[in-house]
Order: sequence, then structure tokens, then C-alpha cells
Amino acid sequence: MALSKSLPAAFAAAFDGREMGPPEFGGVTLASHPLEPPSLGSATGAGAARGATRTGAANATGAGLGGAGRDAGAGSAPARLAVFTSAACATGGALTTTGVVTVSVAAPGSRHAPGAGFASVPIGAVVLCDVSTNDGRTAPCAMAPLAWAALACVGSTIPAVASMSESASPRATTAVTSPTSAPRAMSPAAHDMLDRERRMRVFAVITAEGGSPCGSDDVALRVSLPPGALSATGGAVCPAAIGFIGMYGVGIIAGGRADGGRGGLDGAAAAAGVTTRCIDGGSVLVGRRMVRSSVSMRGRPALRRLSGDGGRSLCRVSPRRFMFGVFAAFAIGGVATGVCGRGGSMARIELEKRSVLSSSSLGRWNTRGRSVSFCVATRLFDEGEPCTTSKSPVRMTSDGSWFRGGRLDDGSTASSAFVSGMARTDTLQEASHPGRAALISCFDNRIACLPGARKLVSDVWNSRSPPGVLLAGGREIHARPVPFQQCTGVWKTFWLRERRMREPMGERERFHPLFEHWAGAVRRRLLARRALTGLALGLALAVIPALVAWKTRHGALRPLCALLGVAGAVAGLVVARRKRWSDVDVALWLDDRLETEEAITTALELRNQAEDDDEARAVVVSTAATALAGADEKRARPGVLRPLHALAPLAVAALVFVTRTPLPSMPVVAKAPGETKVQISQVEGLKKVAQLGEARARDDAQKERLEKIAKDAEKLKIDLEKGLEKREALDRIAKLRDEIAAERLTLGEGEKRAGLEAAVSKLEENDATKEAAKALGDHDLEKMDKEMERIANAREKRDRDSAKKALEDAAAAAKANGAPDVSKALAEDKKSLEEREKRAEALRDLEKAMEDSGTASPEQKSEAESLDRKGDDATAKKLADAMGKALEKLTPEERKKLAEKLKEKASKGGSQSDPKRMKDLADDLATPEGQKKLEDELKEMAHEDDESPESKGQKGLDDAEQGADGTEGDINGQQPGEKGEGQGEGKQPGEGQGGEGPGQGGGKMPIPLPGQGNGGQNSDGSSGGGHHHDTGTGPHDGKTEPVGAAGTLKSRAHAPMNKAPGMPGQSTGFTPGKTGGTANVQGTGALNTAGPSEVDGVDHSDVPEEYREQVRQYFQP
Amino acid sequence: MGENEETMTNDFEVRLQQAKGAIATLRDAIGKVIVGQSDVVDQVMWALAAGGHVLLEGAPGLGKTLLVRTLAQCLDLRFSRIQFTPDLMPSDVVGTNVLVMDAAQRAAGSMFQVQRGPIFGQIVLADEINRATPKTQSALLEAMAEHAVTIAGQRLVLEEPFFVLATENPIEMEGTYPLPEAQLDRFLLKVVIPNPSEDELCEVLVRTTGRAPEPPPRVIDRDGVMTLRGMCRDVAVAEPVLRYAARLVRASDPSTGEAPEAAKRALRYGAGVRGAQSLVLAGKAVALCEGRANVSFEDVKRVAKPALRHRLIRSFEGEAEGTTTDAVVDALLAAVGTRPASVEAERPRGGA
Repeated sequence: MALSKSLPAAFAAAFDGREMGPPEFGGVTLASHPLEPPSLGSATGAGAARGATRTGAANATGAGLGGAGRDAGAGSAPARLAVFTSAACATGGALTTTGVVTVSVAAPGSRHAPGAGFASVPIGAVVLCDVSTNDGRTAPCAMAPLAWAALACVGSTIPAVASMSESASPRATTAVTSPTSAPRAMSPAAHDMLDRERRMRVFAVITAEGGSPCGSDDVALRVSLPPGALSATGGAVCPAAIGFIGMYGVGIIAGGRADGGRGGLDGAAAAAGVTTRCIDGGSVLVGRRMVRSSVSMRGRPALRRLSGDGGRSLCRVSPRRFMFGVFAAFAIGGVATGVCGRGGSMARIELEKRSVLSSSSLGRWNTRGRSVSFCVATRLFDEGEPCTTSKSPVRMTSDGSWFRGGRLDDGSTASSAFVSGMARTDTLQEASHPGRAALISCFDNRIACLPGARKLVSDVWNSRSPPGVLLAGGREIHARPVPFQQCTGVWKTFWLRERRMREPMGERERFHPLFEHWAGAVRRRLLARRALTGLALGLALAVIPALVAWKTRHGALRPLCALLGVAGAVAGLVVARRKRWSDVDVALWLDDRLETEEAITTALELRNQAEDDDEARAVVVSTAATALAGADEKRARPGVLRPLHALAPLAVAALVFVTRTPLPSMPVVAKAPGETKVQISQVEGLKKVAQLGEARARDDAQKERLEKIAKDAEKLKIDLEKGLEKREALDRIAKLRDEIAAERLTLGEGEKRAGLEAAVSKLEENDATKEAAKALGDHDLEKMDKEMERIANAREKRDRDSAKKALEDAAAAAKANGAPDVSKALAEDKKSLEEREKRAEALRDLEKAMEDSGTASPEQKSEAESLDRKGDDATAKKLADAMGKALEKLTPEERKKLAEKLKEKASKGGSQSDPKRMKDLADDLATPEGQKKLEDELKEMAHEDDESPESKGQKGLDDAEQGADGTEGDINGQQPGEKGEGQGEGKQPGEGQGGEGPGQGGGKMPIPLPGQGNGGQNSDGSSGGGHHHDTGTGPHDGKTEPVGAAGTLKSRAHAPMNKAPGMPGQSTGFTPGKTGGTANVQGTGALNTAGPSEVDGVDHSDVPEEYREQVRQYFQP
Repeated sequence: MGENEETMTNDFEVRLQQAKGAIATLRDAIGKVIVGQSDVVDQVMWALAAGGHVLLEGAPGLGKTLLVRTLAQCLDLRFSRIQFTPDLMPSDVVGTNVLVMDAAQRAAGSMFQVQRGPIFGQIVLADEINRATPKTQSALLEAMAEHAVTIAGQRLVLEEPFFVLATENPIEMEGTYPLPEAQLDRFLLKVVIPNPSEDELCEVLVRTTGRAPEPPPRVIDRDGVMTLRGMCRDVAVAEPVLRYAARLVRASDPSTGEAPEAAKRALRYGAGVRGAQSLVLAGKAVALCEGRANVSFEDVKRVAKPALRHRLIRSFEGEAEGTTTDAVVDALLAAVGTRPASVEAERPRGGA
């Protein structure tokens, strides 16, 4: 296709058609128009552009593009791409549509996606296309490189592609990929950093259709990525766009729409046998945000409209900048089509409720004849160049080199753009002045230019510049060319470098970026320092809580303390932000450090207020700029590190140390005594106490008391089964024991004590009952019963009678002295004595008869002797049992003989027994039935209980007390040991003495209690050695507090206590009283008459002499 | 920046360098006559560039008059000298109307004719100004402020540049009329001429006891001086520098809290608005003389003493203690910081 045919005559006439030819390298020509793809393809190498076709909307509008490139069919990374833009030219009316540039190549065998048609487009290619205006006319429109070409980069993971196409779609906007993955254009990647060109995060541009590499699946896109397409900061991607954005705060990078190029795309895709997808929509980057970031895959239209988001973004852009930006963006083409085509998509952009842009406004812009110039940097990549983004040969700068006022050769002045193109074979373009789109296109070795641009090009070309150096935009771009002739069909490899030219830009423009640069550097360092200071202080402070956490054994908190460092750093940042230096401060600092005599401060002061004709201002600015340009960084920047910052590593080391140091051991805390809980499921001891409720009571009052004790015991038993504090349990046990002990003493107590004493006196008068008297005085009724037993079984009748008499007298005396209970008890004892007496006599008579008859067994004889000796009931019962057994074994003759013997005894009357009873016994023995009856009686006698009721009651109380003791042992984890038999060994003859042997307890944790032992006998008869001396080293300090606590006679001993847990059974509280022990309840009444044994009882007691005074005082009534 | 601006830049820069060179040449030329006293010469140069007047104070024989006369010779300006004496009348300074004796003139209707006094010179040396009566002094000082005189109701503008250098002798105070403070304020700078060092004195002896030296060359003409003064006004001053000058002047006022203790004790009144103006204007002159287009803090510091010393009025205590105004200015310079505290804090200790 002949592109020139579609061009208006006026535009076509602009081309002079002259072949410039290669001046030095050869192969470079100036052409009046781009070549057609077929010819380019054939001209530049095999297969490179063979598939280059114009597709889609390009066909529809007649725009054409020549593609040229290297071999793209080899399957390797081929080609270089060009991204196009259009220099939309006004023709007096609003644009209604622009031409469409589509380039699509699907070279057979190419690994490129069909959409990567740009692969065949040479860098710098410029497309001329028609622009239809709303008045029906058409105008030429130049489509110039806009964004970076996407050079194929197989395997590159950099998700970027840059291309452009546009159509007459209102949605012909820009799609910008996310910096993370391709081809997601959903998120705005180009945002922020207004005025910071080098940081503009324009990573890539994706267009939708028609010539764009809209094979939008990941693989295809990646394949078509240029190595430098992605750059984190001002990289090589789309430098023109970056430039625009940087300059104006607005950038529009390509645009596209699915339907615009589907045809061609599909065709290309079909040719390549690849299914393609398109990205629709796009975004317009205006100001600092994407106005629209709607991109849909698979051709689905994204109907998100330009929204208020853009409006808000626009608020951040100064109106002037905005206008420029929008205009520039429109001039590029993508948006221009959108706005004009549908008449106002962009009108939806609102700036603070104001419509800032509309078709009409665009028209105004156009009718003013203002056209924008833009520049494009192109770049070639070596085939072997690694696909990294770190090398960015061409960098856009913010110094305004892209846009400078220029004079065209016709004398007019326009804001022309210089193109930092490639040496010789690259594109140079100069923008047009109204009505004339100037462009330069280079296809392979051909350059097409318009007259307006020619001079510039020729100047450059014919150069006053050395070979390989192209002046562009006030910069000197060094090329490392490969001889062009050797690169026929292949674009040369360039490695561009830039350096500042000696001829600087305007000082005024130069000062500001330089100052901004330095101000940023100074502020950053101050920020860093304050952050470090905060970090250091935070970390230093963090050591304290870390130590506290270590001390308190909160080990997990120690590493978290380091967060204080982070907090400190944040605080430092906040402080730095609040104390941020103003520009003047920075300028003063720089003046001071650079010794510029306040030139920088003055220049800064003057930048906005000086008039153009202020001569001194220019000098000051120039001086300041020069000083800044040649400033020594080390000298000019404030230091970051301070001595205080040394705290940070020290604190970190301390934190690590504290964190890694093992936690201290758990502190030993002495628990309060008895705080532990005890839980005992089987409390046998309390069962005995509980049985008191069924015990025989002396009277109703005692019955009631016993039942209460039993009830308390039962309740305690239940509580112990559930669990109870040890101290409470011990207290309740002690209370039970006290009550039991008190119950034992109720006989003859109080007002009845006189009776008791009288009875005791009577009993003491008789020698036979002296022991009984003592037992009664001690309230030891069991012992008294034993004594009665002994008396009853005594062989001498006189003694028995005497004892009975004494008992009668004692009972009478007790009764007379107001102790009926004592009297009753004594009467019962007498009765019991008599019954025992009868039994003993009967046994003795029968035993004598059997012995005389020769029927007595040896066992019987032994028991009889034992009865005479001991005189206790047990022996009598054994005798009865033995006699019963002996009777069973008697033969009839022996029985007869025994009966006769009994009759004989009865007749003689020499026995102590009743003669009638003897005769009855003889009669009984006469018959077998009688013998049987006698045997039964003897057996019954053996099991007869002759104990007195008082003794039984006393025994029940004793059992209960023992049960309480056992329960206390259970609670303490032990039972009180019983007195054991000690067996000492004499170590040295004659020097030992009886020691205290170990006791044997039956508790759970038996602790031997000292028992009385007998000294071992050595061979020489001397006592053995005693127990070992206590070698303990514990403190023996302590004192006993005086008795004074109200309501108690207890005193507490204060002594140093070991913090370690106490031994089982240890009691550190009040020790419960025991029977016969120290009273623990202060009496309330007078003792009245003291018992004879109680007078000066302390002096006769076992209390050591040194304690007697204290005990005496203790018992002082 | 366009070409025009670049051109302007270049022009001004060239002129700056030219000015710097001219002043240096002038200084060298004066130096051929005046031995030493480089500071004095510099300060006179500043006043010349700034368009102010100078009060020279020094003992007799230190070359005050010679300095002024040499300056006049180098500048190619009309020089006039007024020796102030107690019987000097104002008309002796500014001139008066005299009766016209010429018949032709009288016939023309002009009975009187203005007889211009020595004030109508371009460089006027008011020698020992404190020996004239205040009335005569005020006649001179009015002319200094107005650059014009009125004779018999007729206002006559003095020709520019009009540069007055007054001298006074601080040691012969009997029979003198010290200048009132309000009139002292009209001098841009007060230059104190120190005694020469031994070497300088030897050089003076050599020069003055031998053959008479050749007259100094004319270095700058009238236009040159006017250009200098114009450029001086163009020198830029940043706001921090202006504020520094203002703080200095404010600190000299003992009634303000900003005044250092030394100033509060030794001063009764501080410098006023004219003092601040003098600081900035003289600072501009310093910058111009050094070829710079902006004023620095150091410039202000350098001119602080000559610009303020005659504007500070000592208190009784200050006079009793013998505190000089120069010492007070030193205290002011030490007390008033140039840069914000945050910036000062960042400066390396002991560094520049």
C-alpha cells in the first residue's frame, strides 16, 4: 500500500522525497514516506517483515505502517518494536477521529504472539495517517514512537509490553500493566511521583488491539516484552510517556479498544494459529492516578468510565500543568480519539466540580493552533543483551531536555521536541508548528522527515557532531555503533550513554532540579538520622523491659521488647517529619557547607519573585546552580550517623543476650501452713468418732453431747471426702478431740467434784481399792474397771468383801456430796464386782472338783494358776473356755466321778462357793443333758461381758479419740507412731544409756515417734549407746511470745523458719490439745477445791524443772 | 531560560566583574598614596558604592584628609574641602546670594547671584566637622540627606555623585560641638582610623620625607561611580540575610528582650531603621566589591561595626565602664545567630 496516497496533498507535499542517503555509515536514507511493509520486509532481511501487514482499524482508516526488522522467524528473540504515537495535528476543528496505527506481524514460525506485530516495526517508525475532522475534512496525523518498543525477550519474566494503537473509540485509552505480572492492567501502575520523573512508575503499556501485542496471555506477552520495558524507576519503558508525565504530570500512553483491531488481530492470530485475546479499555494517566484502569480480558468490554477518581487526582495537578498534560496527552493520540470520537468521555473528568475538559475545550486547544511536541527516545537492543532491567542506556531526565524552544528553519518558533534518537539510523523527530506535523521516520536506513525538521536533522546528521554522536535534547548520546554495513538487515547494537554536555541548559531550569535533588538528599539523610536515633533510643529503652521480663520470668516477652526499637524508629520518623527542614533551611545549610555566600538561599528566594529582567537574579541563580552542580556530596550532606547511634548495636547485643539468657529459677515461696488441701476418701478414724452417737450415755445431756460430736465427725468426714484445707481440717479434728477429751472428764466435774473427791477418799481408805481410788481420781474408769476385775477375781474373799464395802461407802459418800453420777457408777461397779466374784468362785470350784477328780486338763490347770496370779477377766474366761472343752472330753465314768466330787464338796461345805450351786452342778453332770448345759454355761461365761457401763462409755470415748488421732495422722500424711521398742547398741562398754528407739507408725507416711526404749545390753551388761547427737546446723534462735492473746492460753513461738516446704506432719500453727496435755482453753470459773493430786502437781510432774515456773503460771487460776 | 536571559546574565556578570576590577584598581591606586589602612580604604569603597557618606574618626595625622583627597583624585570627581571651625557659618558651606556688581547683569533684572559654597563639590571633605557650630553642621547634614541645598529660597540640587567624607578628631574635644545622634545617623558608615603599625609608619616616613609621589591615576569616572551605585542596588538579598540584619538591629535596642546582656548594660539607645538600612546597603556594597550578586551573612557582619558604631548611644554605665560601641557590636554579633537553630545544630563542631 502506498501510504502517501492516503495522505492529503498538503501533507504529502511536505515530503520532499529526497533521498538523503547514508552519509557515513551508509544505508541511511531519507525517505519521503515510510516504505510499505512488503518492501521493507524484503529490504531488511528475510522474514523480518514478511508478515507485516496493516490490520484492523488501520485498514479502515487507510493508515499504514511500514515495518522493518530483522529476522523474526528464526524462533529466537527477534526484532525490535516500536511504539507509536501520533502527533495529532489540528486542522482548525475538533478532531473526530484519528488514524489508527496497527502493526501486526505474525511471521511464520515466529515464537512471537501474533499480536506482537511490533516486532517487525523498526524503532523510530512513524506512521502517517489520516485524521478525520468533524468538519468532514481529513488531515494528516503523524504517529510517532511513543513508548518503548517491545523487544522480544524470550523467557523474560518482566511483565511489560509497550505498544500502542488507537481507534475511534472513546475508550481508546491507556492500559498500564501492573508491575507485578503481565498482562494485568487492572491496577494502575503509573501513579504517584508527580514531578519526579525518574521515579515515575510507568512500567509498561498495553494496548488493546490492532497492532498491539494483544496476545494477552502471559506467555505471549512475555515473549514480546522488551528487556528494558520494565524499570522500577524511570527505566527505559516508554520514555516518552515518562517524559510527558514528568513534564506535565499527565501521561497517556497509548490506547486501544478491542473492536478496533480485532479484525487484523484475528487475522494475524489465525495466521499464526494462535488464539488471541484482547485487552480492552485502558487507563488514562492524568495527574497522579489512573483515571481509568479498566481492562478486560477476552474482549469483554470494561465499561468503567472515567470517574471521579480521575477528578480527585486531577486536583493534585496544577491547572497549568494539567492543561499542558491533557493537551500533550491528546496530542499523542490515544485519548484524542476517545474524546473526540464520542464527544466527551474525558468530559467526565471533573476537577473540583468543574468540567475541565470536553470536546469543546479540546477544540479550543486545537483551534488555538497549539500543538504539542514530544520526543521519543528509542533504543536498540543487542540480541545478546541480557534481559535485565538494570541497564537502561537511555534515561529520561527531568531537566527539560526533552522540550525546548526551538527555531525552525522557516523562522518560526515552536516548542519543539528533540529526539534523543539513535545514531544515524534512529528516529529524530521534531514536532510541528501548527498545521504541520513534523516527523521523522526511519525505516531501516531511511529517514523521512518534514521540512520543518529537516534542518535540525541535517545539522545533526551532517554533523558538527562526531560520528556516532547525536545531539539530542541538549545531550550528547554516545553510541557504540557497529558498522552499519555489517548489520544489513539488522539493527545495530548500540550502547548508549549520556553525559551532560558542556553547554548546560538554562540556569534557571538547572537550579531547581539541582536544588530539589540536594534538598531531597539532605532531608533524606536527616530523616534517616532521626530514624536511627529513634531506633537507637528505642532499642536502648527496650533493654529495660527485656530485663524486667527476664527477671519476672516472662521469657516470651523478651524478643517483643525489640519492637520498642521499631516504635522508636517510627517516632524518629514522625519527629523528622515534624521538624522537616524547609527549603530555606536546606539552602542555608548548603550555603554553609558549600561556602557559597548564601547564593543558594538567595537564588531560592528569587526563583518565584524575580522579574525576568532582574539581572542579578540570573547571576545568583547561575552561581547557585554551578555550586550545586559541583558540590561535594560528602561535604554538603549532613551526616547520618551520630555517636548516639552506637547504642543501637549495643542494645541489640544486650537484647540478644537477655533473650538468650536462661530465665532465673522459680523463687521459693513458703506457703502458709495448712494452706494445702487434703482430700481423704476413707476416714476410718472419724467413723469411730461417729459411733459415739450410739454409745451409752450417762444421762440425756451426755447423750446430746455425744450425738453432737458424732454429727460433727460425720460432717467432717464428708468434707474431707470432698476436700478441705488442711488447717481447717486439723482445726476441726482438734475441736473434736477437745470435745471428746472434755467428755471424758465430765464424771464428777464441776459441782460434783466434791462427791467425786469424797468417793475417792473412801476408796483410798481401803487397801484393796487404793488403786481404784487413783483411777477414779484420774477419771480413768477403764483402769478402775480393771481394778474391780482384779478384786473380783481375787482368791481371798475377805479382800472382795472389803472392796465391796469400800465401794458402798464411796458410793454413799459421793451421793452425799452431790455426785449422784459418781455414786451410780460406783454402785454399778459394785454390782459388776459381785457378778464377777460369783463367776470366779464357780470356776474355781468346778476346776477344783475336776482337778480332784482327775479330769482337769493341763491347759485348765495352767489357766487356773494364771487366774490366781493375774486375777483378770480374760484369764477367767480362758479358764472357763478350757474347762468347757475339758468337760466335753469327759467319759461317763469321769463325769460321774466329777459329779460325786462336787456333791462331796457341797456336803463338806468347805468351798467358798454356794453349796447349793455345787449340788446343782453335780446334778447337772449326772445326765448328759446336764453336762451339755454345763458346757454351754461355761462357754457363755467365757464370752460374758462383765464390764461396767461407765467403763464401756469411757472405752467408746477412747476409741473415738484414737479415731480422731488417726484422722489427724491421715491429714498430716501420717499417723502418730506408736511407741516402739528401741534397741540400742552399746558402742563403748559401760558408757551407753538407754536410747529412744524408733517408733513405728501405721500411717501413710509413718514418722517414727520417739518411744521409750531399753538400753541395749552389752556383753558386759552395760547399757548401749544412745541415739546420735543432732548434728543439724539450722538456727536455734527463737522465743516464745508471752501468753496474752485474748481468749486463748496459747502462745506462739517465733523462730526462724526454713522457707523450704515443711516436713510432713509439721505443724506451724496452734497444736491441738490432747488428752492430758496442756489446756488450751482458758477456764472461766474457779477451781474451787483442788484435787489432792493437783496441789503442787507441777512439782510432782514430769515437767522439767526449768519449765515448771512457766507451767505453774500457765495453770494459775 | 531564553537567550535574552542568558544575555542578561552574561551582561550582569561581566559588569560585576568589571566593577570588582575597578574597585580593586581604585584600592590599589589609593594604596599607592595611603600606607596601610586597608580596612579603612575598603570601608570607604563600600560607602562610595552604596552611595552613603562616611564619618572618619581618627587622631590627627593619620591620613584622613589625605585619604579623601586621594580618593577624589582617583575618581575624577570634583573635590572640595571645608575646614570646619567654630566661626564657620552655614553660608560658608552651602553658599549665599551675593549682590551682582556687573551692570549688565543688574540691567537684566538680577540683583543677586548665588555664590555656591564648597558643598557643591562631588566629593566633599568636611574636615573636623565637630569644630563647627551645630547650625553649620546641620547645614552640611541637610545637604547630605537631601542631596540639595536651599539658598535664599532657591533649591539647588547637588550634582551626583555626592559623597561626603567628614572627619573628626576624638582627642581634642575642647571647643568642639559633638554631632548629635540624629545627625550621626545620616552617615552610612563611621570609619575609625587606627594608628599605623611600625612597618606602616616606616613606610609613611619613607614616602613623606622623600620626593613627592606622583599623583594617583584616575580610575573611575562619574559614570562609573553611578554604575557602581546602580549595581549595588541590584544586588540581591535573601530573606534570611535581611532578617539577620533586622535581628542585629533589634538586639541593639536594650529595651527589647532580644538584646544581649552586654547591650542592655552598656547602651541607652540602639540603632534604628537607618542602622538596618545601612547594614543591608553596606552589605550589598561589600558583595558588589567582591563581585557577587548576593549578600551573605558575612557581608553583614563585616559592615556591622562601621554601620552601627555611631548609632549606638551608650548608657551611663557603658560610659563609666569604658565599654566601646565596637565591643557592644561584637557582643551583638556573638549573640545573634545567622541561621536557624536547627541548621546551626547540624553544623560540625569547629567546622566551617
